[in-house]
Amino acid sequence: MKSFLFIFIFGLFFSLHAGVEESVTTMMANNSQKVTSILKDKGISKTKQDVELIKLVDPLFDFKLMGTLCLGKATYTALNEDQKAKFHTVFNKKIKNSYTGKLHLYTDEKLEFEKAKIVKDKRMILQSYLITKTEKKSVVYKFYEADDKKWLIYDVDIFGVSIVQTYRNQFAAALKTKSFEQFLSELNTDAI
Amino acid sequence: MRLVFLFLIVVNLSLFAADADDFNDEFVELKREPFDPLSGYNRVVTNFNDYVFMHILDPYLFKGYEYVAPEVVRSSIKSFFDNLKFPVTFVNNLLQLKFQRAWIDVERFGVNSTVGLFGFFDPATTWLGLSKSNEDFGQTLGYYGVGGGFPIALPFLGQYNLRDLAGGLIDTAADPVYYQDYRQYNLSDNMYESWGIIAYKNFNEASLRANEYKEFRKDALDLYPFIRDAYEQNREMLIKE
Repeated sequence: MKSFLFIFIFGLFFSLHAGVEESVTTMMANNSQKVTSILKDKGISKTKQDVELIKLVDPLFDFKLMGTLCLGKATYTALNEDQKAKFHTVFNKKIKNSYTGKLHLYTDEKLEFEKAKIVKDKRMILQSYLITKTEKKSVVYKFYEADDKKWLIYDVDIFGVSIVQTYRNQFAAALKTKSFEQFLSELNTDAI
Repeated sequence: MRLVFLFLIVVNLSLFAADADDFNDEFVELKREPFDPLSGYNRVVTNFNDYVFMHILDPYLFKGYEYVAPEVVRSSIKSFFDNLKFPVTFVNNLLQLKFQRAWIDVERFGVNSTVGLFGFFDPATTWLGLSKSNEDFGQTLGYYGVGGGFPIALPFLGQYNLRDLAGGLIDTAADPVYYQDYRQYNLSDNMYESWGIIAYKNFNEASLRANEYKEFRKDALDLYPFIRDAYEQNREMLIKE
């Protein structure tokens, strides 16, 4: 009886976590196919393609969390509500443009996914490889489990370069010498 | 039995225990200011390289080259040079004790040099699924714990750090593209010819990555620290691989 109870509880615990990795992997593979078909659709303009791409990727990412992480906890909490709202508007636009811009680079390339792995509580990573004509490049999606049990992306390592870490370093450096308003206006334009 | 049960429950709980608000901890460690004694020089060189790229290479030289050599030709030329780099990747895989990868390098070199027509094609990847290694002596040094040292930007060649620059110089001893007087196998007859081949090899490779560079530079608020940071993160991943 005791053994049965033990196996039941142990099994129940793992069954709660099992299956999530497969569903995230399948979802991302399906999403990748949809992205490719949009990119290959020559019948629609690039602007229209971008709108469609954003519709596809928007539900997968937590852009608000990404923005907060890029700014760093101390800086973010020191902002007032108006500054936070402005920052998120500018950052969302910037990151979405940046992401769709990168998708356009790899129209003919294939993205291969390994099975997602839970690395710790509420964190999962999905290793994928971008297969170009001459290279195999690593792209790692980092997910967290949001309060509504949805798994959302909070960072992507493109060829080992973390989007969040790179912005974070840049934002920290910019805010050392510039006011928040100056920084925001630079972020709102293509700075270089 | 009760003990085992309790132990497993505790292990489970600790494995999946909620550690709230730890996102910041995942990124905080890299936030330190890097040691960069040449930052002034590096910044000038990076801006120079970017200017040459954006105003000379991309609009004129790459455009002309792409006209005479379509992407499929340029990719084949890159594959040819990648195949020639076999001694470098093979030796570095051995030095990093990656024996299986080293053997794959041998298989790849054998297949691509013959069936792949001197390496211009890559049937080892496309037919046999034997993917290419990307190993160099900079990574070997990193594998054994050697730190990057300070960053160095080189005109036309781009971003390095001290470790990878030293590693790159050592790799030239095994790379047939670089002329070495003492060696039996050289692609060129003398050093000048060798420099010409290296310049062409780099030019061909850069032409394949032109759009990538133009897209990624848009993410920079300040170009030099952005490139330095991305370079270091990329190298760190390659060393860990």
